Amino acid sequence: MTALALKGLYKEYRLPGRQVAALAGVDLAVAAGSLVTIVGRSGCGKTTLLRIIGGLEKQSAGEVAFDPPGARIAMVFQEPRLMPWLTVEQNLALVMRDQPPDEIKRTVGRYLDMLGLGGFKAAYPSQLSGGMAQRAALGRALCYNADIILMDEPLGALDAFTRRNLQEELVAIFLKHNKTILFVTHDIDEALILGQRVLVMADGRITAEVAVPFPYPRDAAGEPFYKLRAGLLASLTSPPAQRGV
Amino acid sequence: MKILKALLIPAVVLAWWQAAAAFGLANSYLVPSPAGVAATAAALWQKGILAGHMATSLGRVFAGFGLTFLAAFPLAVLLGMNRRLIPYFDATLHFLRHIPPIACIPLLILWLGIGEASKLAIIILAAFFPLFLNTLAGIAQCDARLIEVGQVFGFTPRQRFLRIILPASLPSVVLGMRLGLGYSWRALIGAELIAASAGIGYMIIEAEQLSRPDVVIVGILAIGLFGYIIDYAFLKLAARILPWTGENETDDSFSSKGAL
Repeated sequence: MTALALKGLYKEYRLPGRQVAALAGVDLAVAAGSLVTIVGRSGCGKTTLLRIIGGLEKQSAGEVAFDPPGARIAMVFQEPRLMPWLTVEQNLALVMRDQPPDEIKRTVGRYLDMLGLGGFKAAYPSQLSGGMAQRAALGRALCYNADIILMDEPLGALDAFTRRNLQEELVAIFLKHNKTILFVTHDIDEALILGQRVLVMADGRITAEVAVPFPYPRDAAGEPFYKLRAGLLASLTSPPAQRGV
Repeated sequence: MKILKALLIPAVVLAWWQAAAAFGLANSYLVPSPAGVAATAAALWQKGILAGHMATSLGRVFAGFGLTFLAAFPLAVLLGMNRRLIPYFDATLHFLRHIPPIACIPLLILWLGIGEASKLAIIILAAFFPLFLNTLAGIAQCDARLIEVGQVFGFTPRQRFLRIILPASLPSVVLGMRLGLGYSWRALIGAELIAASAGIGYMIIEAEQLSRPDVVIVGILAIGLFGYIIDYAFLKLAARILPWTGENETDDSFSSKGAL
């Protein structure tokens, strides 16, 4: 079953004296319960694609279709974007506003424990480390009980160790909850560790796709990844084209 | 240690003042000694005169400030949430902002008399702009990235305002309230000096007419002391309301502005 289908998605921005196509015709079908990673250079259109799917921007042309229609979308951003006036617990509960209080408390408590934040539920975001804050942002997305979770380089600003830990946690959450996840990154290894499918974006288009047949948990340093990484690297290092229209 | 540092300059001034009085360096009729002023303050307090005038002034400030909040806050929210309305108000409000409230006192007395209405009007004029401009700035400068969180997670516009924009703007609103309270306190005393039959400003001007500089000094010190107490209480209240900010977010002291 397809959870998300994009058809001929096109987005252009007007700059002084010219127009730039951030997306130049993206077609994509994402199966329900799959983890798809999108990898590409900075400025290739990855974030724009996610923002359009998340309803934060409107496409210039093309269609975004969800199954079921009106599916719940959650997003984890590059930075945690926690509400600074709310505690960690309240930040997670914020997105469960229509639920009964008991259910909110139970769900929030469960995800806080799962993410190792049980001891920090009364802390404010300013009291958390970068990794903990990003964990809380992930917990918020999980509490929303979304059909699709969009992740826009959520681990990009973290140190290598925290990043590795969170990658493992994310895989564990994916395997446990079987959510549909679209994960954007500029790190090829991260794309290979996480994704069942890795899509390469360049110049506002999906230019290559690789299926990753290996079971979780994965170690991108292993031999089987060599060819996949080399292929992705070749796709990414081809020179970018001008996208003026 | 902080308290000791804070008390150093008042202690030096007091010592200098006491020395000037003791050695006859100043006319004791014009510059009464600290001991004399303290005795006058105690007498005014015991007779209930100081407390009565202070209660009158404080009552006016809080009533006027409440009315100001009812006018300034909704207008700031209206403009902050509907930016296209700002050009209609911008020039007029900036014009009015530059008129000191005290300049309006003669006109307000002509229109409203010397009763409570003219005092409340002065307080509203003094407190309106700090409250309005800070609230507007708080709403207008709300982090767009936090609003996007609400957008993605399906908040209605009303929920976005109540759960994101309003709490995000609270430090700025509270700063505006604090500045507004200070401004209204100062403006009120000015109004009471010109036209009033009660209040701390009236006590001062009456003492001047009776040639009682000790009462004038008691009045001036009481204004400073109560202004400080109101401000301090508000700062503490703000720290309780805004526990995530610490005290510095709403602190407009010299040191927090980097002046010291």
